[in-house]
Amino acid sequence: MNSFFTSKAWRKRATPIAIGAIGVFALMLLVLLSIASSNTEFFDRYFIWLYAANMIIGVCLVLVILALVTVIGVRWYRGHFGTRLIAKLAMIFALVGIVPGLILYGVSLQFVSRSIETWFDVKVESALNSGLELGRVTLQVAQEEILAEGNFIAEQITQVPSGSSSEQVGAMVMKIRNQFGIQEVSLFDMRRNLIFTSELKPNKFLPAPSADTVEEAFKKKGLTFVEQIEVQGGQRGYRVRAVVPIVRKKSAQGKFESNKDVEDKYFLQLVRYIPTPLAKNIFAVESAYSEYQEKSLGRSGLRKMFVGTLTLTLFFAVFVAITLALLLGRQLARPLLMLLKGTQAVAQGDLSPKPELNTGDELGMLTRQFNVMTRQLADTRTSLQESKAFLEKVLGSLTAGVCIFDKKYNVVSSNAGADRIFGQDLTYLDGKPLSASPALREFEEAIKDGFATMKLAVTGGDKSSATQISHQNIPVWQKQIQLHTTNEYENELGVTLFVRGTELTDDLRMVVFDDITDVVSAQRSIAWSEVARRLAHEIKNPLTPIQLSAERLQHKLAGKLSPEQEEMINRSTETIISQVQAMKEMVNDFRDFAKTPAPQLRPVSINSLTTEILGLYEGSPLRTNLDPNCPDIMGDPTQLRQVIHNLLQNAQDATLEGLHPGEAVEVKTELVPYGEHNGIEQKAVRLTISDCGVGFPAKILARAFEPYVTTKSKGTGLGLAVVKKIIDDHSAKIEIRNRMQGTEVIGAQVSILFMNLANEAA
Amino acid sequence: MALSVFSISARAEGIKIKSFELERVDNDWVLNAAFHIELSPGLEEAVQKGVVLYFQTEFELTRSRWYWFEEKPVFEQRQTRLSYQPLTQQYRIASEGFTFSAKTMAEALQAVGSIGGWRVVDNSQLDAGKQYTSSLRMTLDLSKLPKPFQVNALNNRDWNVSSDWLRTPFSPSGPNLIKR
Repeated sequence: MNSFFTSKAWRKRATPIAIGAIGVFALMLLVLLSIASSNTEFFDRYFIWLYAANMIIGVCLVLVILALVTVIGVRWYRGHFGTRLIAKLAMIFALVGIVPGLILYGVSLQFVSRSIETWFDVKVESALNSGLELGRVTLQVAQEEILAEGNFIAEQITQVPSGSSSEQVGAMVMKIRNQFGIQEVSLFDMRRNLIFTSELKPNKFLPAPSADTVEEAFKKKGLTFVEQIEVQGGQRGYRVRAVVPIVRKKSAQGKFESNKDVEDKYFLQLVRYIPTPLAKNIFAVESAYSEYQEKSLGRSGLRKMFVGTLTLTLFFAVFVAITLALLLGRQLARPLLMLLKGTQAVAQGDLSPKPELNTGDELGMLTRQFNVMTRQLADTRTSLQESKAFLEKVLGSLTAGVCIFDKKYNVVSSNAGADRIFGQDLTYLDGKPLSASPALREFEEAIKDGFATMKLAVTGGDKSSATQISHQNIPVWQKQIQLHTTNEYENELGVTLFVRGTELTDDLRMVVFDDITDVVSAQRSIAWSEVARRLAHEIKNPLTPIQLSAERLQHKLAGKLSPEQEEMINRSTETIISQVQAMKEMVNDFRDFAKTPAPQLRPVSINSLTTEILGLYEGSPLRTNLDPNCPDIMGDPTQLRQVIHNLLQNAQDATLEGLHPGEAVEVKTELVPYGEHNGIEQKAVRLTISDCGVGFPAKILARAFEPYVTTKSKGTGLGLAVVKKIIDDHSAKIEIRNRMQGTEVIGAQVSILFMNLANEAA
Repeated sequence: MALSVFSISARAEGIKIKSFELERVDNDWVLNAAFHIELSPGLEEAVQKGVVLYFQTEFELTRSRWYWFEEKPVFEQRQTRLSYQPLTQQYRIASEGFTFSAKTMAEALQAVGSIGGWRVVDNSQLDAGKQYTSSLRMTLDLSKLPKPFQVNALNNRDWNVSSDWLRTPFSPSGPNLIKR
């Protein structure tokens, strides 16, 4: 196809223009044709062209209608968006236009055909025929009469004796003429010269007929014919004329003896005018007959004409109906299609504003309202998303773990806090029970138990149990659980959780839990400090009197007793004094533990500190592995010295008590990366002391830092407690674990992580 | 097949020019011509039923010009009216104020087809030195028919009766008698 025609804009504009032009043209021609029945000269001249042009236009209209219908059909077939609606509307409108048109057309067609046929009636035709025949017979009779009269006159003339003058003949003829009532009688000779005429006025007589006519008259012995004439006033009349030959036998005269019988030939012309009223009627009958015959012959043409005009009108009506239907259909369908597109877009999540229709009617309003709705929807969605994001952020940054379960304790949702507490990503558990992860089986059991107790309490009436508090009538349970205390993961530290659970709805349960391990141990250490302080105070007070009393006893009794008794007293007193001294020391230890002063933080090199302390342990098997890159840390050298000292002492003792007493204790420092903060990698210094002793039993491991917990056969069990306290005061972290080789414990290891570096603090 | 039928019928019916004569009388040219007219049965019936036929005879002189349309100094036309009178069963032919009756159709058509003493060219209107073409034809004037017959004639060949144009070279200063 030509690119010019494929131009969409051109086609869009050209089609309505072409259709409009055809429509206007058709209407014009139709109007012309309908008024062409009025007989003006213009229409008489161009009627045929008008008719032909209308026929062509009719064909054009049919083609246009077919083209429009085909276009819609093709679009329908291809599933073009919105065609169905347009086609439906067009069909309805077209029906509204076409059906009445068709009814009118049918009725008119029937009416025209019938009424044309009724004009032509056998009776009317036979009456007209009879009338015409009557006229013919009248003229025939007049002809026969005048011929008879002519013959009579001719007879009279032939009997006139020869030699009589023309006046005599004339008188006789006039007499007969008057008798018969003939208008004009003229006598001519064979040269068609007038001999006599009854017409009185000169030169008013009818001239002689042509020679051929005369000859024929002689052959047929008389000839009559009817002529149409014009009488005064423009009316037509009829004239009956007879030509009658006269042959007179004359006796031969002297000159021409050879001819015995000489014939004198003349001819008469008789004229009679048919009376005017009769002529008028005959003419009327004739013209009526002619007209009737003509109409009767032309009726098929007449019918064609009417049918053609009617059909053309129908085509035009259909054309207008379909064109209007398409236009109106498109007009009506446009907002609906826009809405449909809009809803599809909204359904796919596109909430951008859609084009509006700027009409004042309800459809325009509908499109505008639709946009308002979409806008509100978009606003609501954004605010929802914002609040959801906010909530998620809040939940995510909560240190507490939040888990939501359904009826069957399958995980619905969990937050980042939970991940952190359990040390694993819980998102993979969504839709599964917690027990899908073996580490969490214990936790699940505790939760189920908690909810079960809550259920019991709730169903049991208003009885409030210790583990369940009622807050705004929402039943909540809470309890503290300890995980990994009695399982096979011996080398992992136990976690203490504080769990609260509640039912959100019938189907959803929420559990909020906090890792309170640190809190618990801190509380313990505080409790121990308190106990230690009180004990120290309470025990120390009686000790000095006891010691003094014992010394006094020894002093007073010296020399007064028998040597055996004195020796026993001395031994007992020594024992009391030494034991009291030991007790004092222990009490002092307790006091020191309880009253550890706040550390005086300043930059300290952990390496030089370690080296300095190691100087005291010369001779013992020690292996050092110090990282020279270690920066200074913030710490109290005195307290740190005690820490290292305690740990080394422990390690040495453990090694000696172990299976390989000759093994070296390893002291190691290193700089390690420690997480990220604001995108900058954080560093920490780690001090590790490893021994080759028997390690810690699982029970001790969990509470190693508590006072009175010890593996040693002698000792207060305060060493690690003090270490822990100091380390906590330095905001450092201490970790204790067993060194494993396969399943065998080959020793213990204590790591301290100093995160408070000197250069950072400065 | 259809073509042969058509050609036969075309030979039988229609108007043909039998003779053509252009004679110079004094300063005018007088046309005498005879046409052979044959009407289709349908047309004959129509005449007998009272339909009046108008035959139009057209004569024109043209001179072709290379730069523009043809020059047409002379265009003459006359009409002959053929009607039937059922009362007297006669045909009447009327042309230029002259009337004639005929008893049969053949006579009547002969009368219609004979044209005599028609002064068509006034020599003074022409340029004596130029060459012209004279054209003559006779047609049945359909636009004078009653409208129903015009509708019929629209798609009926029988009713389109016309002679071809007879074209002869013409020179005002040429021979005084042109015959064909």
